[in-house]
Amino acid sequence: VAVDETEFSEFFASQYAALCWLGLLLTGDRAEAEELAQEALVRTWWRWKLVRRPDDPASYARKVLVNRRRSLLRRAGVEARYLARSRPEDLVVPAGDERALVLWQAVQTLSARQRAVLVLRFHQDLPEAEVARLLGLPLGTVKSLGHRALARLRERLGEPGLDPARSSTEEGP
Amino acid sequence: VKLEDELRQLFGRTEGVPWPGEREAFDRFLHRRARRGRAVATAAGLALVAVLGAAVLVARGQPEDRQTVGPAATPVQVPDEGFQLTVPVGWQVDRKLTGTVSGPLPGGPTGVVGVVLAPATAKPREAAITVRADDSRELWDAASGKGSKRRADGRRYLLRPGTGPREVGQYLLGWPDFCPSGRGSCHRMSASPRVLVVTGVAAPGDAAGRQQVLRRMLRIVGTMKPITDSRRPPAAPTVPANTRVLLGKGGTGRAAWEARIEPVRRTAGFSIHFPWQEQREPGKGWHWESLEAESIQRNGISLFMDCLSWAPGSGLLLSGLAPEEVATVRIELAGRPPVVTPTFARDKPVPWVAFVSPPLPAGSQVDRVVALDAAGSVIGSLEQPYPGALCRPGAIEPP
Repeated sequence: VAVDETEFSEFFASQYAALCWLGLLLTGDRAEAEELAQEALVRTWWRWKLVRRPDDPASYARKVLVNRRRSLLRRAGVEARYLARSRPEDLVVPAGDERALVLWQAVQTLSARQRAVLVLRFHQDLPEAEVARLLGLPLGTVKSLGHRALARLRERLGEPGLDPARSSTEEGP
Repeated sequence: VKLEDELRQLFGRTEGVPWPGEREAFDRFLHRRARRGRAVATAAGLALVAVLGAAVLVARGQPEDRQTVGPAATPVQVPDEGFQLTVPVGWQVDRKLTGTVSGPLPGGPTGVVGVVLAPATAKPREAAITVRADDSRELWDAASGKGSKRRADGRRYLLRPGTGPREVGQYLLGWPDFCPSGRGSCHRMSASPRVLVVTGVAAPGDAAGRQQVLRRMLRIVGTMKPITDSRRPPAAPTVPANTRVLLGKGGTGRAAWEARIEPVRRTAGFSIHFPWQEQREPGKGWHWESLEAESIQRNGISLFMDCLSWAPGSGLLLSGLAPEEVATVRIELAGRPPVVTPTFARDKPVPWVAFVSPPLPAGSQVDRVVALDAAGSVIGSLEQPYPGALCRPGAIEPP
């Protein structure tokens, strides 16, 4: 694979943190976020010649990351999901106030797909149709997931006594 | 501030923020890339090495294993904390520890929380092993953190050095407890963090004795079995991913529907199709969600909502799945009489029944959805599944 290393290393430097943060928003776990970002960048490097010109390579790397997350979830099954949930949170989204911290904790109680919909909608600013395409779900399902996720967050934020670690909203496979 | 805007702000805080350890990341990337390149060429060799390595490990592990679970070893159960341990040969239960049973809430019931083991012959000198449960998050983090290992069943454990001259060391073994059956507020398949703490002590100068205690501790960690609430509950009944079943049809005209179990991308799900809308706008007249078998088991219902925006005046349609014993589903609406809808699809090859409400007025607010058996007993319920008024007239709600 003949790749302009300088060009790619600049791309790496400009995208690594953003991809890690996207991974963290999707998973809530620092190690998993780094793993996803690294994997996305390796796969982007292997297809660099194809993606650098016609496409936006950053967008390609993001798609790889989301897809990778999706396929890992599908493969891992319930046990891994529970383990992933139980892992310590050693890194949080930079939060300016208590409300933001509470909101971040509430986001982490959402199921993986609900969280993915919110992150792609409100972090990546993707339209619902694009979120549906990226997650491989019907548009109606994405709307419903988003609706439920917001309802769940409202419920959580309205009940400060609840311990988010103690209950969850995991979905099917 | 709208919640959507708050989320944008929260997620937006990551913009331009450096990631910890970013400097070393490119080196890791280069290693990873090189590894990927070598992966195919070395795969066969690695597989062979792995097989040989496993064979050696198994051969080496066998004598130790046999000793551990030999005929003289005694199982002791501590049901309140969900574990069974095997008392090593030559050791016995010295006493049981009582206290507050670990759990999600403080002030839980009192029970047996652990045991203290001691050698039957008083050798090694001053030796004892304490096994107790602890629900400290900090210990859970330590047990599953850096340097931890995994048992064959995937549970993580970690050896920490002892504190003080007598303590030989301390094993932390991740031991989650699962939500008891019938507790609707928690997810049965999710587990709460809890650890078993295995602490050994022996006389400070007795090096051989201390080693012996350490080996016994490791055996205990390796042979501990989950019982009661640390056993994963049986999985909820489900169907193969490729299941395609038409559960039933109903409604008329623009509000006609078909309820199905069908897969999307190799995942089984419940779907509701609206043929009128589907014919008009292909792809936009159906709604699919993955099967939440666990949710059905927990709440007695898995609920879906659709707004019939293409059928003026029709408003909201609630549908879903319930366990086979559910005969009717009662939908309680704010300020309106409840709507009771019978279940159907009992004769279909799936472990549930389905229900679809009649079209409910636009702007309905759902207070509660209750699953009832034929005698009218409650099987499960969902409280305020969708807060607020749903399907406002003139507005298109999801989906």
